[in-house]
Order: sequence, then C-alpha cells, then structure tokens
Amino acid sequence: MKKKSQFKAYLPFATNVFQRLISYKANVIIFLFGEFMMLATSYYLWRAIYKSTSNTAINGFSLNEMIIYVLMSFLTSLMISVDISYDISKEVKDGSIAINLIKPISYEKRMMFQAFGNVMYNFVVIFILGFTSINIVFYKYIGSLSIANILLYIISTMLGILINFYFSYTFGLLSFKITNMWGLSQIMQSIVQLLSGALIPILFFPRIVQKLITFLPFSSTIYTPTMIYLGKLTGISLIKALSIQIIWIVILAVIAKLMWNTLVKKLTILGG
Amino acid sequence: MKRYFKLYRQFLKQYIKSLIEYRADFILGLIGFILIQLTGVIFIKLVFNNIPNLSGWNFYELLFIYGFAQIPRGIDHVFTDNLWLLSGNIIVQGQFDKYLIRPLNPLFQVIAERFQPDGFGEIVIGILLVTISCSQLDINLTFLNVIIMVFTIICASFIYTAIKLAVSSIAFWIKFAQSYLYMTYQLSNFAKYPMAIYPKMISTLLTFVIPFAFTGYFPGAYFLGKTSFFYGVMLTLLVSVISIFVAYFIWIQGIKRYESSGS
Amino acid sequence: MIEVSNLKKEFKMNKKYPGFKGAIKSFFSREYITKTAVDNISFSIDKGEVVGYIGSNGAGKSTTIKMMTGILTPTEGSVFVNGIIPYENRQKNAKDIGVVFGQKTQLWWDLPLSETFSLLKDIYEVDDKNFKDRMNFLDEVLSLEDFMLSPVRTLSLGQRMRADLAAAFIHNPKVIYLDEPTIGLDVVVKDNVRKAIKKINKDFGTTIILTTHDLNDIEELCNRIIIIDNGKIIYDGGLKEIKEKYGYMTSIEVQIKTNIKTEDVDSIKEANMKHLELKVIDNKINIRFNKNITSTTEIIGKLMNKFHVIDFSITETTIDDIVKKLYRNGV
Repeated sequence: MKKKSQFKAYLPFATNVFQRLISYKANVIIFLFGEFMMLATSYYLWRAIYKSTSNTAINGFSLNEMIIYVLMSFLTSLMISVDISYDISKEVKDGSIAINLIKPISYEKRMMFQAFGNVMYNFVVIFILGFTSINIVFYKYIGSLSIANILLYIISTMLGILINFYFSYTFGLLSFKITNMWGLSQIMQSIVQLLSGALIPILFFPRIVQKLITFLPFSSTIYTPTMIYLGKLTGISLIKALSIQIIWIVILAVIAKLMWNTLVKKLTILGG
Repeated sequence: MKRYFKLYRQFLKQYIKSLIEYRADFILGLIGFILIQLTGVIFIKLVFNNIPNLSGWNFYELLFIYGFAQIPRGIDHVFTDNLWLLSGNIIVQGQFDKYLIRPLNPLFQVIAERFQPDGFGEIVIGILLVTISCSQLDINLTFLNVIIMVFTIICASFIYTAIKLAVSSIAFWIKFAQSYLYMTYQLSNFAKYPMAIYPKMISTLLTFVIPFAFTGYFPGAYFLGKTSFFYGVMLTLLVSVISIFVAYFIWIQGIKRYESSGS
Repeated sequence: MIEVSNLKKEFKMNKKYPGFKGAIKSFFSREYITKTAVDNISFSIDKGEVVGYIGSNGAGKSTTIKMMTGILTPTEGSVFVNGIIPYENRQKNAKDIGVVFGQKTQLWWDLPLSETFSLLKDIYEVDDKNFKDRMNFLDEVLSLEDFMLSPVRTLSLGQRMRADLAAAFIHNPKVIYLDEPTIGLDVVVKDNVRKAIKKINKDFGTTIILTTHDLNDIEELCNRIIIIDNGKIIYDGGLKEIKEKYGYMTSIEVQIKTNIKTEDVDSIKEANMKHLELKVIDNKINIRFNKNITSTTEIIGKLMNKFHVIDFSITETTIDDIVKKLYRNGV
C-alpha cells in the first residue's frame, strides 16, 4: 500500500518532464536533424575509410557492421542521456534546491523519476522510430535478425541508463560544492565521448588502453549494449560485460548515497 | 570607424576584468574545448592505425586540414559568441530593444558584448596541428606562404561569422532560432575532411550554399598542393566577401522586420 | 519639442483557430486579422513638461512609446522629436534620449555597476567633467554609491531600477521615456525614484514622458496626463482637472472590535456627508465618498472617535475606474 502511494507521489515529476519535452518537440526535431548530420559525416567518413583499404574488415568490423555500430551507438547515447547533473546544478544555482530539500520527498527518488520522464520521452518518440529503422537496416545488411540479441540489447541499455543516471547524479552533486559547473561538465563530456564508444569502437584503441577503458563505467553505457546488439559479445564475454554493468550500478549508487549524506549534513549545518 | 575601435577596446577591457574574476571557469572551459578537439585528433589517429591513407590523403595531410579548419572556427568563436544568445534568448526575452535606443550600430553592440576566450582552445589546437603536420610534410613555409595562410584564415573566419549571422538573424522572424543555428553549425564538421569523401550533393552544398568548405578544406588543400591558388585563395576571399554582404543584408532586413512588427 | 501627428499603428496577425484541428488550419491559412494598436493619435509636448501617459494594459501605451523612441515604425502618421524622425534616424535620435524599460534592464549584467556607466560614457561620448558632475548628482539623488561596485546581477529590483534611471540620464538627454519605472518597487524606493525624476526635470529641464499604472506616480510627478484607451486618446489635459472631475471617489474599509449596525454608523453623518455610501457587514464598515467634499481624515477621525478601530484600508480610484468613467460621461 505504501509503495503504491509513494509511486503516485513521484509520478507527477516524470509526467511533468515528459509534457515539457513534448511541447518543445519542434526544437528537439531540429536538434536531432543536426545530430543526423553528424551521423552523415560519420557515414561518409567510414565509407571512404573502408574504400582506402584492401581489407574487408577493420578490427573485426565490416563496413556494414561499422555503419550499424555508428547508428546504434548514437541511438543508445540518446536513450541513456539523462542529464540530471545539469538539472541539479541549475537548482543549486537558482536556489530552488533549498525548497526541494525541505519537501518530504527523497531527492534521489525525485531525480530518478525526473530522469525517468526524460527517458520516457526519448523512448517513446525517438527509440521506437530509430530502433525500427536500424533493425530494418540491419536486416538488409546482415540478412537476419536475432531476437535474442535485441532483447539482450534492451536489457543492457536499461542497465546503461541506470549507470548513467547514478554517474550523472553523483557528478551533479558536485555542484553543491562547485558553483559554476559548466567548464567541468564540458571536460566530462569530452572524456565520456571518447571512452564510452560513442566516438569509435573501443576495439580500435591499442590493447592496453582497451583493457583500461573496459573497466571504467563509461564503456558500459554505450559500447556494451551496442556490441551486444551486433552480436559481438557472446557467451562468457557477454556475461562478463553484463556483470560489469551491474557492479558499476552498485558502486555508483553507493558513492551517490555517501556523497548525498555528507553533503546534506554539511548543508544543514551551514544553513543552506 | 575609429570610434568603434576605441569602443571595442573599452568593451574588451571590461570583459577581461570580469574574466579575471572567473579565472577558474575560463581555464576549465579552455581545457574542455582543448579536450574536445583532441578527441577528434585521437579518432583520426586510431583510424589511420588501420589504413594507409584516406581517399588519397595521408595522415599528416588530413591532420593539416583538420587543424587548419579549427583556427577560423576558433577565431569566430572568440569574437562572435553572442550571436548564439541572439538566436536563443535575446529576442525571445525582449532584450533587443536596448541596443536600438543607443546611438551605436546594434550589430556592433551585440558582437562586442561578449568575448569568449575558450575559443582560444580551438585556435591553439589548430595551430599546433598545422605546425606538427607542416613539419612532417615538407611544406615550404616561406614568409609569403605564411602571409597567405594568415590571410585565408582571416577570410575563413569571416565566412564563419557570416553564416552564423545569417542564421541567427532568422530570429527576427521566428523569435527562437538557436536550433537552426546549431544544425547549421554541425555542417561545419564536414569541412574538416577532404571533400572527396562526400557525394556531389553534399560537397555542392558546402561549397556554394553554406560555404563551410572554404573555411578549411579549400585553403588547406591549396597549401598541400592539392588544389589551385584560384580555389584555395582567390575564391576563399571572394566567398568571404560575398557571404558577409549577404549576411549583413539579412541582418538589416531582420531589423526592419523587427521594427515593423514589434517584439 | 515632440510632435505626434495622426499616428497609427496596425499589426497584422495570422488568424488563429482554436483547438487541435484549428492549429493545423492556422498553419496553412493565409488569413490575417488586423489589430489597430494606435489609432490616429496626435499631441505635442513642450520642453520641460512631465507628461503621464496612462491607459489600461493593451491600450497602446508601449506601442506609442516605441514609435517615439524609434524602435517601431508607424503604419501612418508621423513623429518628430526635436525635428528628427526617430524611426528614420534612429541613431541620431538616440543620442538625445534616455529610456527606462520597467521590466528589462539596459545595464551590463555580469559587470560591476560602475563599469556600465563607464561604457555608457564612451558610447554617448560624455566628456570627463560632465560625467563626473552628473555621477555626483545621480549619486546624491539616487544613493548609488552603496552598490556601485556590485555586479548588476546581484542588485535588488529597487537598486537596479535606480541604476537604470541613472543610466538613462548620464548623457543628459533632452527627453527621457520611462516605461513603468516604479513597477514592483516598495514604497520607500518608489518615493526615492519619484524624487529623483522630479529633480532631474527641475534642474536640467529634461522633458519626461512616463507610462505607469500607479496613480501616485502621476500625482507626484505629472502636471499633464494623456489617457489612451483602445488606441485612441480619450483625455489630454491637466492632472488637477481630471482628479477633480473623475478621481474623487474613494473607499475606506474599517475594521471595528465589535459587531455594529448600520444605524450606529449613520449617526456620524454630518451635513457635508449626505453623499456617503455606507455598508456594514459584521464588524467591517465600508464607506464610499467624494474626497473633494469630505476629506479622508475627517471620516477616519469621526470613526475613531466613535468606535474602537482595529484596522482600516483606503482604496483610491484607479486609472481603470477613471477610464471607465470617462467613457460613461464621454470627454
């Protein structure tokens, strides 16, 4: 009974964000169009790259697989993009954080539902369209479609969303201490882009670097789900990758909780 | 004219004063931009680990174009960053009127109001990449060549500004134009790579319609000996002059529109 | 010095249809509706006048001001400010005007206030001596010294408004347009701002045009008011006259310790109070009266003598009331 009423209390946060995003749909579509051009650059670039070599595969990727990789990693990055850190730092900056801390609602849970609202929008509008089209492309290129891989992809993506949420949340909590987060978030953005597989498959990095990157949480957000979709992670490596995802969720959740406790203590002592 | 230079110096002085206050921000922003540029370079390196050349361009040639394209981008970024706000907030929030009630050209006011030194990140990386690739490529860096390089870079910066100005001016008609500006700005990413890899339609778009190709590819290709002086230098100059005129024209029309329909 | 002749401004707006289907229809329709914001108005203002330009929201005030400052081009008619047509010679006209937009600021947001003035000095080409003298004057009259070094974004509304007024004056313009300058300010700041405006007008002969909803602003500052309603001027004349003619009805609501009856209050009516309208609800008395005939203090005095008054509030005639009345009586 209590769970249900709790859920009801948080739901408005999700639907609110959802509604807000729908009303800015026109702008989002244009933004996506801009992103689409990035994809186009990638497409032509990779095509030229593969033309410039006599090999049919580079680092285990055929041209077709690479194209799907580019599309899928992009879609996945949209899916997991819950930029809660921005929301948090904004609230700290404009002071509304104080009011929000007073309300008898867990800040963490609220942020999660707000993030959920973000995700819902991304899911409904973008994912269904995008995912369907990519599956069509996949079938055209590869000739078959694996339901198992698709399901595993979805599971892995959901794990990726959680990882990104907790990471973003923890990063956002930094804004309690650092007043202007913009510069820092720019740096974070570029690092994440490089290490998450969004820029290029991790397999392209030198071996040693690869090992390092796989142990950071970033590659578990985009790279892992996309590779699962492509069927390049199977058997033991699949289980290993999924486990790493889960481990990171736990680690980040704990860090978030710890940070939260220390910060709130400091905040209430200082009187906000 | 002299007055405007003096005024710009004043505006700049003010900005630098406030910058010193926000030192930490500036440095972080700078590092951020440098890192973003570096990821692009890392991408190219990782790709070239697997292929000998790209459509006939070797690694250092590609690096040269990539770096060369960053410099005008950065220069424009440093000086005209406020155009982003114009397309986004300024007109929407009714903040444009204050420029019109002052005895000073409103475009000058909009641009002079903001100086974005993080753009230096792009310039620095660009110069670095150009220097490194030049040393590896046996390019004859005579005094004349350097002058021509600087000249084309300046022209290219004007092209960037012109495109930004033209697109942000759309805000006079539709109030919020930032997403269109973002979309157009993304097109500039194409200019970092050789036109040869793109289909005719795209290279035509980038050459004749939204001439980002002249901000990096054509002048860069000239110094690599891959295109003529005409394409690399003369056309770049011509395109920059034409685009500034076209952009300013659109801006003026935009203000006329603003003045007849209110805010 | 300011000549407005047969000024007209029409806005064309896309016809909008209601509902979802309507939204699609609106997107494709080429139908326009024309809104006449300012409809054939004329007036002239002499140097040194302080004119209150009032009207309800949407009456056309801001539109007129925008045309006078050169930000908006008229559909018909003309405006001359010191011989210059503002919307044709915008920058030239701008040299000699100052504008304060009530809700928006012209100050540089991230810089200390002093830097705004320093920049404005350069933009308006004010020489050093004049700049110094005027800054001293403004500091005296608006007490800017306290927050001169603070970044503008940290200023309170009252401080910002004072600063915006100073910024509009730093180059000693011939005309200053004030668009709702006291909106949102507390009583003390409002008083300071009014005093400052009065002094600027007195010491420098600056022509001042003020739009406002606050009748007290008008009372304190203006000797002439122009009332605009639905784009048309319905009154242009002295303040005294219109107050006597239309602004005299006032209401007082008085709260008494115990419940009373109407008859009890009736008893305080004297000869000059026959026109008083009384209403009694439980322990509250509501009295409407003509303050030209009976003063507010007289009534309060009488009530306090007879009853144990806990609280009272006074409601003056609003501009809207005056406008309504003007329509009923036809000026």
